[in-house]
Amino acid sequence: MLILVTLLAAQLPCLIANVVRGGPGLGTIQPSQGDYFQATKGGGHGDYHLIVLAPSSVQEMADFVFDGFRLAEKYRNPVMILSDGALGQMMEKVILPEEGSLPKTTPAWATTGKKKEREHNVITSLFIQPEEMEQVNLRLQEKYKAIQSEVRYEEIQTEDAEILLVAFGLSSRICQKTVDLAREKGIKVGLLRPITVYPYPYARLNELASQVEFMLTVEMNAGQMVEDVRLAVEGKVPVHFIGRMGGMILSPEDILHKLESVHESHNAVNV
Amino acid sequence: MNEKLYLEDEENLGTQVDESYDQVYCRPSTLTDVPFHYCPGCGHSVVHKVLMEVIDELGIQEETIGVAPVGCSVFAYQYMNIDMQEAAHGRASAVATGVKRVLPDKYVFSYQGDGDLAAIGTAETIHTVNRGENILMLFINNGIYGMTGGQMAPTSLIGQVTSTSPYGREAAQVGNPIKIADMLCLLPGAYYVTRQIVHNPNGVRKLKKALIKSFEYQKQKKGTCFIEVVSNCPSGWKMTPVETIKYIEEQMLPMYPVGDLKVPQN
Repeated sequence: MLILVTLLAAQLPCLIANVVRGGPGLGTIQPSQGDYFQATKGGGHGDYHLIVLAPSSVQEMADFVFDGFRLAEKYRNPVMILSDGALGQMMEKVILPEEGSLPKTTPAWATTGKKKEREHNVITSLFIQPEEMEQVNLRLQEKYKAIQSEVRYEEIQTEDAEILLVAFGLSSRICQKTVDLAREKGIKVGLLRPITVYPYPYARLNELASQVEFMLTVEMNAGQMVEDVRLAVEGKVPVHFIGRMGGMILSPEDILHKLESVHESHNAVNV
Repeated sequence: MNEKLYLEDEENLGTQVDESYDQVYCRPSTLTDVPFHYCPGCGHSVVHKVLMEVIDELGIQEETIGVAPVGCSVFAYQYMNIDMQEAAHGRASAVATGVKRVLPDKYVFSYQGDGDLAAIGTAETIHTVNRGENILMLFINNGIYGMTGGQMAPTSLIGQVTSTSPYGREAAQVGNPIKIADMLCLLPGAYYVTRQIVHNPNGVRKLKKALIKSFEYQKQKKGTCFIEVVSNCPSGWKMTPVETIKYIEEQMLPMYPVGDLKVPQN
C-alpha cells in the first residue's frame, strides 16, 4: 500500500488489478470481496481515493483495462480493477477492443529529458512543508470531486421493484438469478449493481430508497459495501446484509431465502 | 569556455577580468542555484557537483533522467537541473528500470545511499543488476543512516558507534558490514563495478572518470554500471569534517578498498 499511495501522491496514472482471494493473511486462493474497504476507503496512509472498477464478467475484465487506463490518464490517479478469484479464472466469450484503441501519449509532465524551453520535470510524492502538503491535499480533494461524475452502475428490473438487491462483481451475477427466482414467486425484486465502487452511486440508491420496502446487500465478505448503501439511503429504508467469507460463495437460493425471511418479518411488522 | 569572467571578491565584485585568461573552473550549469541542504563537509554535495559536471561536459542534460532515493539525498532533484523522479525507499533502481525501459535511448541513473540501496532496497538492487539494466547506479556509502539520526546501517563498521549501536556494532548480534558492490560483481548483468572516494582531489578526478565511462557504457548498452562512493557523515559520525577524512582513510577504506571491482572483459 505504501507504493500505491506513493504513485497516487506523485499523481502517476496506473492500473492495478486486484483479483481478490479469501483473507486475511495468506488466506485461501478462493474468491472473495474482502478487499472492498481496502480498495474504496484506503489502507494506505493519507487522505486518498483510487478510482475502483468492479467487473462482473470476463468481457468487463477486458473492457475495464482500457477504461481504467483512460481514467487513470485523465485524472492522473491510480485506478483499480476490483475483481475476485472466480472472475479471474472464469472462461467467457470476450470481444477484445481493437488494437491501438488506447492512444499513446506523452504528457507534458513526464520525465522524458529536460528540454531547453521548459523547467525540469520532477515526479515526487514528498512535500515536506505542511503548508505545501495541505495544498496538495486540497488539489487531490478537488480531483475526487471531479471524479464523482464518472459514477457508473447497472439496474436490473428496478422499474417496479419493491425490494432492491445491491451487489457488485460476482455477487451481482448470482443476484441476477435470485431476481428471476423471486419474480417467479411473484416477489418484485430488482438489482442495482455499482460498476464503479469509487465513486459510489449514492444518489441513485437514495432515489430508489423512496421506492422500495427494503434493500438487501449481498457480498462475499463480512459486510463492507453495506456501509455505503446505508450511507446512501440516509435511514429511509432498512438495509439488510447477507454474505459469506473466506472464499465461500452464496447460491441464488441462499439469497432468496434471506430475502423471503426479511420480507416476511417486514410484513409481520406491518400487519 | 568563452564566458566572460568577473571577479567575485568584495572589493572588485563584478569587475570584468582580462578576456585573454581562460576560464578553468565554474559551477556546472546543470546544478540549480538552490543552496545544498547537506551538512558542511558532507560528500553528497561533491558527488552532486561532479555528476552534474559530467552531464554538462558530455552535453547530455536533455537526455538524462535521474531517480532520487529516500535518505539525505531525497531532495537531489532540487539541485540537479534534469528531469527526475523520486522513488519510494529502496526502489530507485526499480523506478530507473521502468524509465529506461520506456526511454531506452536516454541516460538513466539512480542515486542512492546505503540505507536505501543496501538495506530496504537490497532485492531491487540485486535484481536490477542481475537483469543487467542499462543504467548507472550511483551508491553513496557512508556507513550510517544520516537523515534519520545516525542509526546503524548494514554497511556500518564493526565497532562503529551509532545511535542504535551505542556500544559499537557487534557482528555476533547484527552481522558484518555488507559489501554489496563486491556481491554485485558476481552477477553477469554487472558490466562495470567500481569503488571511489570524494574526500580528496585525486578521488574526485577518478570518480569523474568513472562517471564518464559509465555513461559511455550505457550509450553502448553494455549492462549495469555500479559506482560506490565511500563517503562521510560528519553529523551522524559526530565528527568534524576533517576528522571524517581520517576515519574514512583509517577505518572505512580497509573494509571498502578503493578501485575497480569489475571491469569490462574484452
